[in-house]
Amino acid sequence: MSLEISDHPSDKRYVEQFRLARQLANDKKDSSKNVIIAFGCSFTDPYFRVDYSWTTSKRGPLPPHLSGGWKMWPEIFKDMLEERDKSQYHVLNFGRSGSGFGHGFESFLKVWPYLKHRIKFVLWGGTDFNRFEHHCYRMHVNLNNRRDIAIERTNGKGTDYERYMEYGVIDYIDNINRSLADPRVVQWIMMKRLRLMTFIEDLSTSNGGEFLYYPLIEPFGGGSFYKTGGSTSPSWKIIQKYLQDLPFILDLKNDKKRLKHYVNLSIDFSGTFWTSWSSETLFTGKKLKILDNKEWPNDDGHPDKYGQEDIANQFWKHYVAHEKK
Amino acid sequence: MTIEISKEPEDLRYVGEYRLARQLSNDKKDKNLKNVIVALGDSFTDPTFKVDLSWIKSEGPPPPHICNWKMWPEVFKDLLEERDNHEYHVVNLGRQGSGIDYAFECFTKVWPYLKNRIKFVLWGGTDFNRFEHHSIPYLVSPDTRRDDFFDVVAPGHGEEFYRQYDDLGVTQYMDAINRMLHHEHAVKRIMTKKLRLITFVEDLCTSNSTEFLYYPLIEPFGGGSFYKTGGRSSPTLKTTQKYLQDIPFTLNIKNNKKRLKHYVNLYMKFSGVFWTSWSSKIVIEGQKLRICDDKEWKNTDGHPDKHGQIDIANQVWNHYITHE
Repeated sequence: MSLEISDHPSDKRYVEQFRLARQLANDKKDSSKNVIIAFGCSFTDPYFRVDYSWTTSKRGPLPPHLSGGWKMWPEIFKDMLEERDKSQYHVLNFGRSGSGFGHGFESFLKVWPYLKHRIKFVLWGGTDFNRFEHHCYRMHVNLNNRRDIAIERTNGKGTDYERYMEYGVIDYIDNINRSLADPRVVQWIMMKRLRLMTFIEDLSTSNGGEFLYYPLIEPFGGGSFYKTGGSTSPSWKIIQKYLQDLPFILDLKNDKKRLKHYVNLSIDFSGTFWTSWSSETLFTGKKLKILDNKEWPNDDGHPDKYGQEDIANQFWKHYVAHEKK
Repeated sequence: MTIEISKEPEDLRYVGEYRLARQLSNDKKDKNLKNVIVALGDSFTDPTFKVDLSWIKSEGPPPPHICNWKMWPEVFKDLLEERDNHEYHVVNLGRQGSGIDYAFECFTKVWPYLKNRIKFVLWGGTDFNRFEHHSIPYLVSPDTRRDDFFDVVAPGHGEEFYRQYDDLGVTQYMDAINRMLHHEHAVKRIMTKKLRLITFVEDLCTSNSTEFLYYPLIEPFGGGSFYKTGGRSSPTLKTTQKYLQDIPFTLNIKNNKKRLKHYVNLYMKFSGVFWTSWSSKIVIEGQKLRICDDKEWKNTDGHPDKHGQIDIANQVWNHYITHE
């Protein structure tokens, strides 16, 4: 079997990671367990650059030092690991802007059968649970693109409206967003995602590897959908409440050792509390996002260079704190 | 960790299998005994399958002898027990109307807990174009929007289906998908994604000393046309075979023909890959193995009857022992 490499134009900038994966899988000389595979969205994507069309900088495009190109957190994590272990690791970063959990999982499926003997770490930067891939077209569908604020900004249509119309997903998106008021729907979506997460955790640990998941953005993007007949996204508090009944949490409560795999997931205050990267910056006032730059006003909420270091540090601290437990 | 058991009302008739799976995974006495068979698939495999009486054309409901029998995983188990002289347990997670993604999801529900006990994963392949609704437990089949569906397959139920699809916001989505089925890249993309899931399960099984057998019981694309909704026709079996030549699944199998042992009735010949589905087998050989083959109780139900289930089990069994 050989690891597949896409020849689709939209995958062009991502094939390099798959080429490296194939090379590592086929390396007859070196079979050491020293590969780190990373998954996530734009917060993880090694090719992430600020989308100028979305920023509100009044001085034109952001300068290169603010628009991306810095080391992403999986790479920084690798540096820390190499420094400690005094040996070489390889990072395969499959993060992709705009993608959801399904895309990460699919990338995992692509590489696991070929590389499992070499994978030491699976690092997962959790993203929005409500993004999915079109059934037959290479397009990430983001339900948040139809939230009220997006519709206001785009003359009543929403981001990516033309593409979404062409591929028949507008009604589907609006229907899902409307259903978010129903606790069963939110629980259902969470359950499906967390089930796959548990599956990967089990595969990784059964294989003698490490697994770390950190929800970098909230599982439901927030905002309201009144303009398309819905109400609001489930709040943070509601999500925590719903989580209590899910098999994922019930299992964790029965086996607290598994908390070692979930960064910043603590079980206390009569429930589960997740601290996302964004709320961390909110609470501590740290300046870790691109929009924190005052010289070049913009509204890009992605982590900047310091934000990436902060994420890597949180992963690392969690890992070393739980390593020997 | 423990195997989850759904509380959804529509899952009620399926929870028995998950209860059994949980019981087997918690069994301390037999915890390392590899004697569990996990089966995946749709209505051709579903242990709770019953003929949908409202769809058939008979003057009255068919009698029990044409709607109640052992399904093929159970028949396969009997063959295995007879040969090995010891007991096996079947956990049959087949569900009518479901697709490949759903089967994969069922697999992920039980694998972490049962992997030490699973000796066989038997997968009755289904339509590649079915998927589950994003936010509710509802299985969507774009094929039900084909031109002849409401006239021939489910007469009198068109409005009910349409209303349900509209309520769930999937009508436009299904039609868009069906319209894309004449684009080579769309069909290849669907096939690649589904076959990747199957390859992944195959790899997990073989790494775990578990036997894996996949048999496409129905064609990967349901057939028929979609002109009424702005589309054309489904890819034919010939087209599907042609496209299969370029996708990683086939290219990998060509390089490693030993893997053919996992795929029942998948042949490499005629300059390519040839799939024989259960339905084409009966067309070619004229065997009477379907519910609709019963002449006494006229109906249009194309599902395998008792003899069809035995036939499927035999094909899977013969393939297994030939390659064992």
